[in-house]
Amino acid sequence: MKETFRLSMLWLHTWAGVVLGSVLFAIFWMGSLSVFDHEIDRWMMPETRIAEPPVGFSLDTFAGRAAEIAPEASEWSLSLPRERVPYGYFSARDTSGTSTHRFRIDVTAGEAIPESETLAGTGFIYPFHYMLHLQWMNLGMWIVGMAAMAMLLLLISGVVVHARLFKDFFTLRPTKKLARSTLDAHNLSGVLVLPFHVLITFSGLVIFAFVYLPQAPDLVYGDSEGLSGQFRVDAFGFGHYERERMGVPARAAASLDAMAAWATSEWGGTAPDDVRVYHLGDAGGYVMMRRGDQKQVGFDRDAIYLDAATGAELDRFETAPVMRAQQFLLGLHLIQFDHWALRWLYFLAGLSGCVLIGTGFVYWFEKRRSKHAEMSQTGLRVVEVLTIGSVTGIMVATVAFFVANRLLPSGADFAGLDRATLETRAFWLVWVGTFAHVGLRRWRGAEMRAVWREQTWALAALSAVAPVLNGVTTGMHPLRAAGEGQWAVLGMDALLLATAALAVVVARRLGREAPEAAPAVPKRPSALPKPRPAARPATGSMPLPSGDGAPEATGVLGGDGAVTGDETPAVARPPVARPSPEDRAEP
Amino acid sequence: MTPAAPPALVAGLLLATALGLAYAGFALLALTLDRNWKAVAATASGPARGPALAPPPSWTDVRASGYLLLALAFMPLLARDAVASFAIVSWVLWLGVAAALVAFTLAWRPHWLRPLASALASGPAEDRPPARDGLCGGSPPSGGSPRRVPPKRPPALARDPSHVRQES
Repeated sequence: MKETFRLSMLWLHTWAGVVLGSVLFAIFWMGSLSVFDHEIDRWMMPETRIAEPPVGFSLDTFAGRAAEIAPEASEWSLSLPRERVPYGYFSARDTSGTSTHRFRIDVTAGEAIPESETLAGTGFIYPFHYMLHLQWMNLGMWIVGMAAMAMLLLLISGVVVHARLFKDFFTLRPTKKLARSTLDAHNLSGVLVLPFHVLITFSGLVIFAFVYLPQAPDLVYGDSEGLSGQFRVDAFGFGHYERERMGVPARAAASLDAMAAWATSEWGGTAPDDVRVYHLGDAGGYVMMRRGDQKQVGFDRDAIYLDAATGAELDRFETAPVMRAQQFLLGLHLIQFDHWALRWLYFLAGLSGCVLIGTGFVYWFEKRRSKHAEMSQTGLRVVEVLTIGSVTGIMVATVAFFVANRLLPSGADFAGLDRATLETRAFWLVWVGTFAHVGLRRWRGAEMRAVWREQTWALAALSAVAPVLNGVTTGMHPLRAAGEGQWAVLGMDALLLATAALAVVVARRLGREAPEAAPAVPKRPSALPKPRPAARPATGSMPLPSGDGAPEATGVLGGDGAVTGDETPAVARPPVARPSPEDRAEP
Repeated sequence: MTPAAPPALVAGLLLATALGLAYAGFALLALTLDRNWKAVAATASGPARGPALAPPPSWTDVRASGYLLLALAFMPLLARDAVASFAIVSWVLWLGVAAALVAFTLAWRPHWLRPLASALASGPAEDRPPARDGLCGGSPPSGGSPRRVPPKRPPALARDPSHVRQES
């Protein structure tokens, strides 16, 4: 069927990209934002904009407060504040096994932070990234997994297709035709960031390996408990050490601070970031401290168990080598470490993935457009709607989510939906609205450019409004944020304004440049490809139509033969640029 | 043992050094590619348009220096982070940034690389064949032969428009 391996890879690359590009863009976009999920939380949850806890924060003082907050508790757990999270997470459980909700707590004041009426970054944007908020039967996770596999295929097939990988390593020709410059941008964002794309996609799949392959632990352990059985203990150290209550009141209580200091020295200077106290007030009481992992790439499951009365070590858990490798990949993907330079690099690399997918789409359309789309008009329309809605649409919806967060009053309730739900509904409504906008405008005869431009203007307007709303509703305008060291709020405002500025530039350019493709095809007089003056060896060059001459009118990319089930392979089609009535020429 | 992080200023300087080394390395590698060399060599230097530059007789040293600079860029990152895993991940990502900056320079400000090209050039351009290009040194069948030699290709293939189309 396909003449060469490369052409079949090109076919795969094109269609996998068109079919899954929308999902991939959503995953990359939300993933890039998730890099700053805690910063988005600060912006969207003004009540959590508390000062960072002082260095000398005392666990013993906190334990006193914990006894007041949860007097009935027989055990409590505290995730300690960290660089990006100024508060801790506290939960308690009483002897009957009833747990409190895990809530945010100001560890220095020992007071619970009022419940936030928003899902914000960690509750909405981050889960969107890995499960698309489709909870039913883990459907979202499976779709994301499939998209990740497709991404790996796209990367591999992309490298195969791009045979001028080295010669065009630095090539970007912004002044050339849209198809050419878009393909350059597509190649550049794919090739230069390739290691990141491969690693982030692969490590993403590894994170949910147990969702995709739950049978693996069962096979080894021979039990049906799977992830909840002994495997969980061996792999993650959950419940690695346990002992029963003795039923005798404790006679003494060792200092938690001293235990933390000792654990820190045992771990070569890495302080614990999670403290759990079991069997409070009982002679059998013990404490678990989990090693912090903010100073390394990989996660760490290491834990030390200590006697609550004496502070003596009871047991410890050390991550096994294979798990350490797995936890390294997790850490590489989930970047919970403290490293601002890397965090920004991840953000940029993630956005370059968005550019990669977006330019892929635009290139596909440019090729379509210039070759008298033999694909059905309905099919083309569907892809148009999907593309614009999933590229600019999701951006507009995301910023609308931020704006809704600042506009909805506290305690807002509409049609039985609480404030957090209303915010997410705003996101979904706006997103669906952007798809409808594309469909309607195209149906009414608007050009693609015009539709892109309108959505870009919407993005610009919303992004400019959001920081203003933040300043008005919370009083934390950029100057005050800088003065009080609220860098997360300041950074979020700055990025929103930068988005607005960039969107204005793009929208103006989209408005200024005349549509190229419409008159281009009929105007081309020559039906035959003329060799370019400095003809280069064709071998080893990319089979993509890359020049700016007429031949690209029938470029192989897009492989219409494949769509229509045409027997003729796309390459064998004579490159006759015949003007045709079905040509999608824009007015 | 978690080593102490250097002060912010030192850390910033180390980052800048790493980025500078990576940029220089990629700039050298970019100049070994025929397309980029021509683009840079044809630019004006200063107010007066300089003469076009002839490429050096051999790219081997240039290419080796480029790769060496890329490798050296790892050192400041290691000094900055002191944690090898951070340094390795940073290095991979900073290389991407540096390569993108070189690509942007070539696209919008190619004359910035003119001084570097002048330093490498063997003199003003004449009618002699430039050295062969290719980052990996292994450009496909035409490899080793100067650019201007027409490709050997079966006549049938040459007439096949689908193959002509593959040229760029």
